[in-house]
Amino acid sequence: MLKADNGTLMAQLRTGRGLERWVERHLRILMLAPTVLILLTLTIFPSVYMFYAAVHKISPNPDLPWEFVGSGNFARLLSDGQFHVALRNTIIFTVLAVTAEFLLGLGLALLLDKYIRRLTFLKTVLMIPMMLPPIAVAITWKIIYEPQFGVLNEIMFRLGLPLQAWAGDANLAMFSIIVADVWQWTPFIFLLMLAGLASLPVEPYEAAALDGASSWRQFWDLTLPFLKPVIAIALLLRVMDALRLFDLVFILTGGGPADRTKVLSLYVYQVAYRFADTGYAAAISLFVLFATIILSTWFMKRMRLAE
Amino acid sequence: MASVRFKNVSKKFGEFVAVANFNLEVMDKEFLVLLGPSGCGKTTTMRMVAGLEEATSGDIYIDADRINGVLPKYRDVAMVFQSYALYPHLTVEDNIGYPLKIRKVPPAERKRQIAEVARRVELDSMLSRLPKELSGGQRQRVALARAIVRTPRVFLMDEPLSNLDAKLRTQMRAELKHLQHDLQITTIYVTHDQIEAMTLAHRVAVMNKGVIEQLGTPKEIYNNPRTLFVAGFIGSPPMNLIPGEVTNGVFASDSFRVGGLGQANVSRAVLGVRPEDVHVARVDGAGVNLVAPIYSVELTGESTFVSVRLGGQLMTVRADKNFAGQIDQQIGVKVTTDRVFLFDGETQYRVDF
Repeated sequence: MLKADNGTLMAQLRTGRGLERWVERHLRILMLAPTVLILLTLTIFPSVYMFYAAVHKISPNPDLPWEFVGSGNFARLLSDGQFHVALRNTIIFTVLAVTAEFLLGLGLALLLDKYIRRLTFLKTVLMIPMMLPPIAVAITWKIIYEPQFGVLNEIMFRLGLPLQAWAGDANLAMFSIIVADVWQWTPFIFLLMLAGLASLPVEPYEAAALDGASSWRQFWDLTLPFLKPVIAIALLLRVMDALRLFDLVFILTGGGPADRTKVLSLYVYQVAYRFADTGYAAAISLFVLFATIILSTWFMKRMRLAE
Repeated sequence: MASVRFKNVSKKFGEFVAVANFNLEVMDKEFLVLLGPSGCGKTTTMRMVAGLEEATSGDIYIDADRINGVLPKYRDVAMVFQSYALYPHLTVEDNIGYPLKIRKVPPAERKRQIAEVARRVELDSMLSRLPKELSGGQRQRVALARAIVRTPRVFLMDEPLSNLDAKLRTQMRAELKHLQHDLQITTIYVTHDQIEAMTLAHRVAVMNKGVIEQLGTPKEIYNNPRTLFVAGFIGSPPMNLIPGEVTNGVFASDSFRVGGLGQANVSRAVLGVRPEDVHVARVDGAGVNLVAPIYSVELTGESTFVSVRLGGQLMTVRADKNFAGQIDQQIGVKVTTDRVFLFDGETQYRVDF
């Protein structure tokens, strides 16, 4: 009965006229169109525009025409000391922050794996830093680091330790930013590692125990290799995110003191909006984009090959 | 090399008693099979020897060493798991060599031993492969090689053949038996497959609900089952077990009668008789115990198994391979009286007569 009904419906659609027939034929395109339009406006157009801007010298005066400079903006990267400082700071931040987050996250996951499965509440609490908007995290830490009223110096004072300027100290500024980032993103690694640990098979561990492997050997010989795909994804996501760090630096230090925390995203922002050199800013952005793509492609290939 | 002794061993998981007051001595160089249905405690018993489970009470000894609470790595036992439990990211060579690597055997010596063991289980051409590139039978051999490479005191095998197809299982069974004979290592082997138990074991311990129902050689277990459970579990097709009443040595159940059971009197009796001890006879033949219609006829090649209706159940009779009978046709059934077992339905134990 149902089949017959369906048959009639399909037949009607096939023999339908005009609009009905047209809609039927183009249904897939119609369904995809809104998404494609949004992508075009918000992603593809700005990207293409950035490529275009990167090969021009753009005057702050909107009445002046763009001057084509070819690879000129990219050549400037080689001799721009400010850019080199920002690149160096970005690398320092990425390496230190992601390493700390990874070691802490994995360590916590290994320690708590057996106990935490019941403590769903704790997991929810741990997710809060990740759910907060980066600006809120930055402002929270700005208040913590505040030299005169901040809670951190209060603690230092109570412990009888010397007070610090934290984000305002040339030697501690980068460290302060890393701590805030570690606070926000360690739970992310922690939860990914927990998920990875929960999916491990039991039997190879029993076999290893009988083969004589200590817990330490089991960790190196079994857990790490088993977790490798999860670790790869976690590191990849964190590195890609760390390379475009902006909010924490913008709020906590503004790139200072003495450019000690000036990272690439902040430099791009300064070049574009403070020096109004849009073409050059586009070139730096493109550099960061390609550096990230190359790095992550290399990383993914390596992880897969080694598997 | 080593004997394994269980003394009053019990294992509870919460309220559930997996193994109850278990006593057993596995002799040096013996191949002992723990046989029973799933959930009977056989795997738990083995895992207590491995150190993967701890006994709730009682003592386990390997030779004179009490091994309760001893870490698995200090027990010097090797285990072959049902799922093989290979290290998926290591090659065959590294899988086999892992116990040696842990024991810091120098690489050259390690390579030599791996090569020797690999040759023994015919894996020498696959040393550089990963487990996922192997067939089930080959993985099984890797697991076996990993277990024998370091000559342990005791071998533990947890249903090692159950994931193989029927043909391979028969072949591996023969290889296992040969290997154990060669290596002369005390082996405890867990299975639910009574044919594996019968063919491999020096002695079989039939387990049910956490206790040993009977311990003996395959022949003893088959020819002299001590309990109703053992009688029903061993043999394929299984023994016919027919409930009824015995008065003055005569068993009666519906239209089925068997005499000559001595002077026995059992009000709730179960008569056990193996299909090969029951024969097809003419309906009007002398000494026929039962006349009943055929329910089904199954030819296995070497013989024919004929099922006949007996009250609410079926009775299996082994007939000649040339047996030609039709379903619903009436046939006579004759029991070899001296091959019959009698059990007390209350105590489940065999009654001698």
